[in-house]
Amino acid sequence: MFGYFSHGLMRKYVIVFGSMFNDLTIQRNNGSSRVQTLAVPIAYGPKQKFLVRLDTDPNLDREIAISLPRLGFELTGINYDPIRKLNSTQKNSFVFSDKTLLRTQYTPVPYNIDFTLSIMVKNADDGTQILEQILPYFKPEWNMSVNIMPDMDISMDIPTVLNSVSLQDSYDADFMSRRVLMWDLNFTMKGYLYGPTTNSGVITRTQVDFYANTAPDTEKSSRVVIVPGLTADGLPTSNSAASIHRSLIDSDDDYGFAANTFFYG
Amino acid sequence: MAVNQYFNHFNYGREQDLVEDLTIESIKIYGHDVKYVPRTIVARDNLYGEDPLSSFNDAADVEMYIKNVEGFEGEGDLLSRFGLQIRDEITFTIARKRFDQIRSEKLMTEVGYNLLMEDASTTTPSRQFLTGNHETESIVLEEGTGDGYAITSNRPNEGDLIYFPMVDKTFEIKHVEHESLFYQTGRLQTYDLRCELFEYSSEAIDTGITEIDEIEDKFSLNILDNELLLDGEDGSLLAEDGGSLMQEYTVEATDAQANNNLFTADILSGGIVDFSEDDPWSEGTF
Repeated sequence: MFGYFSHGLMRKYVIVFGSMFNDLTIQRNNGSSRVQTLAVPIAYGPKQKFLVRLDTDPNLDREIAISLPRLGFELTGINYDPIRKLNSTQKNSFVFSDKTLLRTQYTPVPYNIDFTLSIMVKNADDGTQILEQILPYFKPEWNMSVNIMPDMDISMDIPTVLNSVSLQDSYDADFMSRRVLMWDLNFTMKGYLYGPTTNSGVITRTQVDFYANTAPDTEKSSRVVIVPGLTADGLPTSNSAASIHRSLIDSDDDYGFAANTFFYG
Repeated sequence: MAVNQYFNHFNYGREQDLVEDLTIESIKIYGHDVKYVPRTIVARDNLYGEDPLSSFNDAADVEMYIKNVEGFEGEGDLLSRFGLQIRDEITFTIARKRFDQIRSEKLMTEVGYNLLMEDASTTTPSRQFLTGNHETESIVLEEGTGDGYAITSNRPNEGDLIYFPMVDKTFEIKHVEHESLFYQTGRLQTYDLRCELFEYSSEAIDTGITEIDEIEDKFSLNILDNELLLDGEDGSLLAEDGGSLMQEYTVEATDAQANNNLFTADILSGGIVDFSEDDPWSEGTF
């Protein structure tokens, strides 16, 4: 029933989300002057285990447990958003630059895409610095203008809503328990998923047949054929006999319409 | 009721010394040479109770025994949304006397044997309860022969590091158990140092030991390490606005798990974000 198509939209949404937080830094001061400015690494969390292992500990000799601070995020789910539903039969269209083809596509289906961004730090102050650089931008949403369907020349403002912020700090345990200091931020990105596109050429001839009654096997009584009309001098005409062939007429020429009616029986 | 005065199990110094020396000898036979790396507090935050700018500037040689002989404890290697985490744990045992000795001076010979100078002060051995500083209670070398270690605490401290050369890994002391062997002959001879693999957070590490210092070289996220310096001088090259000039730097260079640059590259090369005149936020720059 469904032929293959993919616009890579989910990948695009993940990249858009990650790009909002990939330029964070924190500073450490000794009271009077700045001593360190740390870039905060961010990575999409779910990955193939073997690749992570080979990338980060290829010789099985990594000297440390983990380098902090760092951000990790993951796509946690998607849900249909009925509030943003558009007319299902409406179509988007895109005319190719040479105007020989028309690409159409039904309106997209709205989906809420949930992300969880986690901030893992060793020091509480590192975490609060990162948090304070994120939260003011979300009121409670932050819009990014995304070239969502470049094939259709569609660009949309995609809001990302900050839903909640929670803190995990396992400081109150025995001394051998590892202290994990982590902020979790839950977001909802209000995205759209688009269906397949269809290409169609420029219609240069229309034909309508008329019948005297609706009984089966009735012969048509007349036919109306409409074609564009353009003289060799480039003037519009309604006389098809005076027109050059329709295949020679471009869609942006100043053509007229030539209607010819044929009667039968 | 009082204990029988004719039996003295817990207050005979010679016997306590013997047990202590046997303990040290055992650790020297079955233990490993490691490096004890004390933490230097730089800018303590008394509110959050932390010191993000801690530094590690010394490394003292000492022998320790590994208690978990069948391998590392802990959760091992695991994958989380933060990438690979190695949660190895290990318990080292160090003789109290030996820790006391390494606090100020290196008292091992090249082959790892205890070196006791003729002039060493043994009048106030600090093998039991240390209440003073290392100058009054430890065994000290003759003046002028010190190695200048800066271990000021009179016991191993939580937060200090131990570099274990055999596995080329650095561990952080999470807990010092001082009564693991409970008062044999009336005295405590060892500390158990319960450690986990170091969680590094761009602390400065300048011990002079290449294997330890390379942690900072490999994993530090400090952008200021990439400042352009004046030729032949210690000063930074500054922009007109007073800001530092940086060499080209990507997070991926020091963190193989990071995707920072990937996001930027995909956004720009793929034209995913609309930075045209229709986009009022980025002003054409990202």
